[in-house]
Amino acid sequence: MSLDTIARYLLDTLFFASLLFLVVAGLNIVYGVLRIVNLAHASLFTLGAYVTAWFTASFVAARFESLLALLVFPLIVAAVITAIVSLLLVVPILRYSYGKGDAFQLIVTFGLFMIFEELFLIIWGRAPQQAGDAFVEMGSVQIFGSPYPLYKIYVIAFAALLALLFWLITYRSLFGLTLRAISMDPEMTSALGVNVMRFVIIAVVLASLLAGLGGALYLPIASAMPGLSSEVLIVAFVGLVIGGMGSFIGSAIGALLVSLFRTLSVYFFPELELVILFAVALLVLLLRPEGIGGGKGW
Amino acid sequence: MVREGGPWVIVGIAVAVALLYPIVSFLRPGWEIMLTYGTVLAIAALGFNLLFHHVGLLSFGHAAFFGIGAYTVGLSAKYFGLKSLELHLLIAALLSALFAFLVGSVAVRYRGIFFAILMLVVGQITWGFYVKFYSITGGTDGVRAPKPLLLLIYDTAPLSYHAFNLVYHYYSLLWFVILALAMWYIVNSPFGYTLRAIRDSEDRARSLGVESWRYKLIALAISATYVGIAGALYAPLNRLVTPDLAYWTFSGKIVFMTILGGAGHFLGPILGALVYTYLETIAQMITIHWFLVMGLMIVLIMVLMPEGILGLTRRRAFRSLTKLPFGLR
Amino acid sequence: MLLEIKELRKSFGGVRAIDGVSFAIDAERRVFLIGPNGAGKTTLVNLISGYLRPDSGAVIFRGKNVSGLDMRERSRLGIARSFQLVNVFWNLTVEENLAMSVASRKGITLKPFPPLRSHREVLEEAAEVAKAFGLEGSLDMLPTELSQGDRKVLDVAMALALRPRLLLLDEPTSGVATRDKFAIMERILAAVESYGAATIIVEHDMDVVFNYAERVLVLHHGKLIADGDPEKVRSREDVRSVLLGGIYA
Repeated sequence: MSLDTIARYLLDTLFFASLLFLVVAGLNIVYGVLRIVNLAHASLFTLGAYVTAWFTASFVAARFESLLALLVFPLIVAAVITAIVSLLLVVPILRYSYGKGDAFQLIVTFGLFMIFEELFLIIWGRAPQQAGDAFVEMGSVQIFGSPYPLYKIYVIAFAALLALLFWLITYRSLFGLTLRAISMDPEMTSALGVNVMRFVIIAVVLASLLAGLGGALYLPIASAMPGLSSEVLIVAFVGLVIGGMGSFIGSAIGALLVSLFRTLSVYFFPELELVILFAVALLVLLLRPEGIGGGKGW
Repeated sequence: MVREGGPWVIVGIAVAVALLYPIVSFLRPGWEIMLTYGTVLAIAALGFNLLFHHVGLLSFGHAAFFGIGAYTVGLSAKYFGLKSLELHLLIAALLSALFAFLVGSVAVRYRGIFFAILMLVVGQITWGFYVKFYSITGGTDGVRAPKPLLLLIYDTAPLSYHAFNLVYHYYSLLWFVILALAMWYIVNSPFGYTLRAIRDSEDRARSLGVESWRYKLIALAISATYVGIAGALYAPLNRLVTPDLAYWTFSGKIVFMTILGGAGHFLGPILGALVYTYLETIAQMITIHWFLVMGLMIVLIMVLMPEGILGLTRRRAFRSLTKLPFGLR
Repeated sequence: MLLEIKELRKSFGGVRAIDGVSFAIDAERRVFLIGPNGAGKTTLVNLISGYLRPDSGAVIFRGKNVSGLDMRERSRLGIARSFQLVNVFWNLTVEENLAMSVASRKGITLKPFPPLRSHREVLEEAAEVAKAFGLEGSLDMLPTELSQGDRKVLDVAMALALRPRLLLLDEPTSGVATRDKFAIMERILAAVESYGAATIIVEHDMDVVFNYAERVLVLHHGKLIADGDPEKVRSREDVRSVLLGGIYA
């Protein structure tokens, strides 16, 4: 393997890990505050992607020439719409499911997943929705003598920034402190006079937002289509299991490891991608049942 | 004790479904085949519910076993010219059980969310296998399942599809009766009680000397065998075996049937499967967006009638089974 | 000797919950284990029953070192336990709960056929145990329908239905109204007497303890500070001060 190929694979790993982190971190936040694993979480990623495709194609690309507009406007719209949908659809269902047992939560969020899948079909149809304008406009940079798309580097940087922001919020702000307190002992936190439900709602919307932004960032290099949610969900679950539930660092480690093995397997045995990921997850579970970063709380 | 669905009730249901076939086919031609689909899916839902209600483990990966069963029929007919359906069923049962032991030896160590996620990923792996190894499996186009040889002597190949469907309905019912009776004995046996004991308190069961993981593993294998056999029976009925059958939303359908009928009732999955096939047909006549209807129904059922259809009619009578509508904690 | 405990130690983090405990019991029916909150009583029960493994030391049961065995394996050898918080099968009836113990002892829990209802001998024995504990009128009830006292009794009955040689009862009267404590303890001890198992009982209520004990073990900060005849133990000054400054004694 030449140097530029290695660099390309490393960057691809980072790129994929950045997007995956946004989804896994969201799953982790929701699990942290509500002890719910939301099967419809990846659908918000898909929603972000669909909205970006639609908004870019029908409004931005036609009216604005500038790259900045292509990068900023769809992202804002995707974020706003994901947040609204999350508030209207996801928050009430998760709130209702709180404390009702794993089976109840899994089945109800599965129902939510089905609703999302079909709503996407109704609104956007079966055809893949694309809008690669931002990706094309950005062009590429030379890395060890080979071109590499600048857009992917932009996504890595953007996601890193979001991760940093997220880290600052959870570990350096009063809001984050409260959130972590809730994740450890909601009753105690409530006894201290905190309106727990309000924080939970904000956390769920925040988590949805991260997923929606992930989808919006992903769209320019790919397309939104039926089946995307399932694909993202499964890979994110593997990342969640590997990284450990309820852990910020775990989300990052899980996303990175999954992406690394995914890139490797796509290079060497593309058919066995999921098998390899699953094997890694099982290995981690056997060695550390709570996941690499798990078991410590936030 | 499982107070409903004794042997005679099971036979009674089978007789009713047997008699309904000509009646439905007379009243509304084309709708009778849903009875057969329902019968076959009932076997799968019964198997699923052994794990779900009686062990308290929710699997979103049971489509994997259904797929194994269905592809056993499709692939062995395609590559080995195997015609006898009983032989197919036997292989399907063995392969499903084997796969369940393989997966379960790790998965049953986990409960709740972890078990569900592990099974979900396993299911998706098998789905990916059918899609990606298209040179063998035909990819998303699937593989055809020809009309089989029944009971080792009766070759259905020359039959018209109309005649085949009729024959196959009664053939499926035969398996349904055998398997439903077996399941009834299993859930009422000391083994069945032990499963529910483990579900209620694993610590207590261990303090009584019960090696809980072994029971869970065996229950998973039995459950998988039922679903695998259902998948194998499904193949000739559907004529085509596609990767959809192994997709995780198909697992979700099995979950849906079970909660629709009522997971806390022995007859719940059976009723749920029969109602489901008609519900799907009717919904698809009204709207093409069946998943939306199903998704909404899942949420509504869980919220409004967590004991399913049977829970509506017999709220008091079967409390010992229905106290815990969704098993898991 | 039925049970020998040798230099048992168990720490949680930096806390020494059990710190070098040794004693032995043979056939005593009413060995009471007492001590203030946090003395390590439940930890000791957990170590003897196999719910926890010791850091060091040995649990020797009928001459065999069982320290490395888990709860399930020790229950097979004849060590049964009840739980401090009622731990029964909440969705099975009283009869079925007891039948589970009997079925497990008879080794038929893996049998998929015939139905439990057809195993007459199992049900008869379950009914017998229920009768010994005064639960014969509640056979068809769910544990949730029982009074708190009856739930505690059921928890003990499930352990005794295993016909153990050693029975460990972790606070069998906790959570029961004070006026019912004696009645509950009477029922439990009468049943234990008729089944003939050596019994170690963790108990908080000193009136109950000194009314029934034939031997008392006092645990304090993970150490055994007194062991022996109830009257002698009660008269010891250090025991008095440990047990809340002698309020009870």
